[in-house]
Amino acid sequence: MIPGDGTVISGDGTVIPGGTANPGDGTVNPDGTVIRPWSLVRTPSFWILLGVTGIATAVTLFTAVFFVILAPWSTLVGALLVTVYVALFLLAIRQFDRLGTRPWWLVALAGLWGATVSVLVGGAAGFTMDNLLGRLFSPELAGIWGAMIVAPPAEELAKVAGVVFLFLAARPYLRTVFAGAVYGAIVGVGFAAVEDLGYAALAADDTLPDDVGEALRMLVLRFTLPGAVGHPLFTAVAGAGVAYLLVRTDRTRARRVGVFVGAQALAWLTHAAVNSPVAAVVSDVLDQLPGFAELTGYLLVVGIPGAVSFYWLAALRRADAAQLAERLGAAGPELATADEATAVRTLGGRGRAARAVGRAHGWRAAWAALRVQRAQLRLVDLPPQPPVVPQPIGYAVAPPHPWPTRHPWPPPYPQAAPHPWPVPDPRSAPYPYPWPAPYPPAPWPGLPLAPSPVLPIPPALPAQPPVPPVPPAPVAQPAPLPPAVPAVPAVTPTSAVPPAVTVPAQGAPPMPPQWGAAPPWMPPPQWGPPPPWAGVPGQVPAYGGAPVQPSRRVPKATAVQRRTAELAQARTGLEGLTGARSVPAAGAVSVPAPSWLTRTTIGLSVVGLAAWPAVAVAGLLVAAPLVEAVRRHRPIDRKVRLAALAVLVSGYCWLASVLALRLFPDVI
Amino acid sequence: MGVTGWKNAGLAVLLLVGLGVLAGVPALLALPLPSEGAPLSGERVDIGFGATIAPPPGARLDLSDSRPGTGAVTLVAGEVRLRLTAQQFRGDVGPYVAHVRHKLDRDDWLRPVGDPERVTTTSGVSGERGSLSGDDSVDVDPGCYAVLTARSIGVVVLASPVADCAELPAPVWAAVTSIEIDPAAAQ
Repeated sequence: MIPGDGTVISGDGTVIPGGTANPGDGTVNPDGTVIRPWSLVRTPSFWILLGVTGIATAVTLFTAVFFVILAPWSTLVGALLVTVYVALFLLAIRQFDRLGTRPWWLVALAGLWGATVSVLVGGAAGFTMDNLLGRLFSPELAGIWGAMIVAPPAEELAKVAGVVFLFLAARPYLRTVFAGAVYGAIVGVGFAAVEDLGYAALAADDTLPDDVGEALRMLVLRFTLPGAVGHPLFTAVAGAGVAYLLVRTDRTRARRVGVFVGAQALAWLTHAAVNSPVAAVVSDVLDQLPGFAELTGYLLVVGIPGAVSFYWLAALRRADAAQLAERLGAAGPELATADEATAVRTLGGRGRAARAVGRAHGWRAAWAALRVQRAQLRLVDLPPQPPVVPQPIGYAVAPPHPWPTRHPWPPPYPQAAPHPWPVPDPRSAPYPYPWPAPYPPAPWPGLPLAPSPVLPIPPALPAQPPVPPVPPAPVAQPAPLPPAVPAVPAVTPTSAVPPAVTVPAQGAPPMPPQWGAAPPWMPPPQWGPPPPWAGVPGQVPAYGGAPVQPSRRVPKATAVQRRTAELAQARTGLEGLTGARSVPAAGAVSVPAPSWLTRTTIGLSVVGLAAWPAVAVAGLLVAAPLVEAVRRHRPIDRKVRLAALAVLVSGYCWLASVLALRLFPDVI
Repeated sequence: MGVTGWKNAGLAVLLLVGLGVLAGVPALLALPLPSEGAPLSGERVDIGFGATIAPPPGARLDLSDSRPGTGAVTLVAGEVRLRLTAQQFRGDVGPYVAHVRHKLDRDDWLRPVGDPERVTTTSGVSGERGSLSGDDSVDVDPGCYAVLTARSIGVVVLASPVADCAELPAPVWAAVTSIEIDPAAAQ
């Protein structure tokens, strides 16, 4: 959500519609109560999450030591393969999540939750549930159906709890339904990695000492079947359900609860299908029929709920993209032209617009257009709270930092100068105070007007007149300024700073010329956030002037600054290549393949050869057990041989089909 | 920090409690339930991987550890527990059997005593058996093990507590020798 949309993220991450106009640095609720901007370190649930994950990580590492003792080489080789698996999955998730902004620490926490807490809790719950199933019904039933009945509730609940935890701990970073799916998928990747590595280590030690080939075979089997329909997909669906329940407050409660329950049911059903013996039975039945591959039945049983899950996630992703594009369109032409806002709405639209640019100006220009689109979406998807702290009263505006080219707008927030000490208390003066009556509320959020031990209030303090209800007024409305500082801010006191001597005008200071003009979609520039009482008659006015002390610490650029600079840089790049600063609209015109590719033997050979590197990567996954079998002078399992052949053939067919259909849409 | 921050913290703690309940409640519910099934009728029990056994008279299934058909069955015959594990192995029998002995020592603290004896079941499945003594450092009952193999299928039998294989009750040893392995059924 862009700044100025009238929504506030409160100090604990709660979205408060209708709050002040500048979320995060605005500090009033609709009812006028004071809140502080959201901060991760002030969120207790974040520390709980961190503590639980830390303890679980220690326990998991301790357990991993036993795996290393049991099968050192298998664990090492398996860990390498699992690392590749995790990297590939995270890359795939990133490809599906081009619109979102995911902080690395949140991604790491999600993955750690899946890899540690979920595995421990899911394993323990699965064990106890399976035990209960065996005792309650029969061990035969538990043996055949246990994995299908027990694993979905035990593991899915343990994993989806991580997504709920992320919502409780870092709510401002999870603002779309698809964000829940993304973090759910990451939790699932962490879970699958540790679970698969554990299975591989146990398999390596099952019948032979440190059997690396068996460990690799187990890993390849678990990676390839059921493939994409695994823990990342289950938890993505469940996480999307959680996100729908918590984010889509524009829907009715019944609908949100219904979608939540439906998503959990779909995740459980997909997980149950993967673990179900029915899949094996269907596979055996279809295997008897001519024309069916050995795993067709299994893939059908697993694939149907998997396809439904993918379809729903794709719909969520489209909805999120449309929402972002809507914000982009509402942001005005400075951020995106109407054509650009229309083009970024869908993945195809973005690709068509970039291809149109590419046809006219070359592939570099197409790439530059894609960068512009990405920068626009990243900027409009920023979390609503800027990393600022409330500006204390009486502090001065720091001089503008000399880096206008890198951080053109807005300038960094001012640095607080040390406060004069002791603070002159206006109440020590005889009544009437120099402050305008009525007596203002505490100017510092959360700091009551209690008598200070340093500055005792005379006992003869007369009663204060009641505070009349004051209607809110525009921020820009000038108000009188206090001549002195009313409260002690939490900074190191020093006597080296002279007292306040200047009182600048209320409202935003003029923009320093070297920063350039602010884009029109941004809120009015303010040197620091406006206080909640700004502009309210009779209240403490906005910050007064104080002697300026140059900041010794270089302020970090805010996310808005970084993203704005990123967009400006992308536009400059596009302009250098095409002469235009915006991406024009493009029709749905497919790019014809170069004729030399379609009509010459060399061209067709190039297409064929291009498919092989990817096929080789897939082949390597199967080749490892083969190499191990050859090294140990053992006969190669028939299934491994068939799997190798299937990977090579199906991989080549798949890649060749995709390339051919993309390159030769009119020929085929 | 607002009230909602502490509310979220409370919800987080509740969530952790819920995860504990998820794992703990099934265990509590299982406590009052019997851990052993009814006496087996004498029908052969499917161990898994094509291996079956005729249980000793009056033996019961351990409901917690037994998953017939998946390769793990534990029979309780009087004081003796008979743990049967079926698995598919690759390669030669020698390394497999040696690894079985190593795992008994490493995981169960049961050290093989003396040289193993050759055994053959009534169905012709061959293998070896040997006595096991508990590790001095831990309090473990002694026992007797047997490893039976047919092609690439192996069945490991661990009977305890018994002083040695010679002390194994006759019905229990009869049950061990009744083990049949059909490798074709394992495919």
